Amino acid sequence: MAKHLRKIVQAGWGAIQNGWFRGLFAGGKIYTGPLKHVCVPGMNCYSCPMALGSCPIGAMQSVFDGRRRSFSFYVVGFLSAIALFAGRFVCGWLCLFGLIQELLYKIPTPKLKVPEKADRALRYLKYAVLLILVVALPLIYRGSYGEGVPFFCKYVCPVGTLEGGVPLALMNEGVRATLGGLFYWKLAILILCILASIFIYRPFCKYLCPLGAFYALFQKVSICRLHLDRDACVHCGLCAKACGMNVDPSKKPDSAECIRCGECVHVCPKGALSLGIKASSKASEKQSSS
Amino acid sequence: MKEEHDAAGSKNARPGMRKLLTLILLLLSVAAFIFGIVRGEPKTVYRKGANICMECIGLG
Repeated sequence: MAKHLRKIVQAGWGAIQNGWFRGLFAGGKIYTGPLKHVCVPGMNCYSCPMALGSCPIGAMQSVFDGRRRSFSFYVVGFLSAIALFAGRFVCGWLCLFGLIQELLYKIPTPKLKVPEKADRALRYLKYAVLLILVVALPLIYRGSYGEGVPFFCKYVCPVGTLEGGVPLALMNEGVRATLGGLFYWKLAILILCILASIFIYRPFCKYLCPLGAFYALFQKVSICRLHLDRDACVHCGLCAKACGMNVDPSKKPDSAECIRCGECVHVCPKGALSLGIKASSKASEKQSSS
Repeated sequence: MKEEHDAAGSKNARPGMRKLLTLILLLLSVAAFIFGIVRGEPKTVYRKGANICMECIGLG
């Protein structure tokens, strides 16, 4: 049960935030109730026919208005508070697109190991996406009618294509009739992400996700964190081997890349790792019992 | 003697400073969140979220 707990939480949360099941039969209409005032903590397109809440990245861009040059205090404050409490815990436990990538990675094929130098360089890409496409351009650029343009949603977001674009195109003839080059561009990005996920563990989260980049900024000061008891650690390397995000928790337990999934905690033979607000005493318990 | 480490593993870290920083940032976040609500930002978020986002679905 404990082994599958994270998958259950991921799927359960995905179902809760996409719990407007009437959307399946609404002919391509979306939920318009009051919950759309609120953002969900993970990536989840608000144009998904079943979405109950708003996407934080889309919402952030919509308030970064080109006309008023306004900053999104509401969304940034909300996301910062979550990040300060849990860091990238949301990525590991509450992101539906993360779960989809993990399931794709389970397809039994030879896996691709991105060369360390390329991997390290590509990890910075998500910060550039956050800074340029989510913050700078929507703040600076004005469309032809003076409107702000959500650059990330428009040109990159595969989550929007998967959860919003494809279902709406299937359900709504009007949407289907207006599909053009931009849709196919975004569809190509989605297909690339899906294919990459079969061979690389969570490639979108590692290299592109602006929300993951935002949460990563707070990783070192978050309240809920990965704790390492260095006295109990025997440097067996099992934790690093178990980590899909290629983090070595015995060296950097609060790495910006850690999604706090807890896999390393499960495999540690000495109980030297724990996830939570306070370090657990598993290590000392194990030591005293042996 | 047991050495002290912060979560990043550096020796002789000052966890008290980190906690203080977390608390200050948390207060700022909550203040920003409330300020955003007072400014009426949730309405902007709603307007965007309650209409099909053409950019998100790839229609421009």
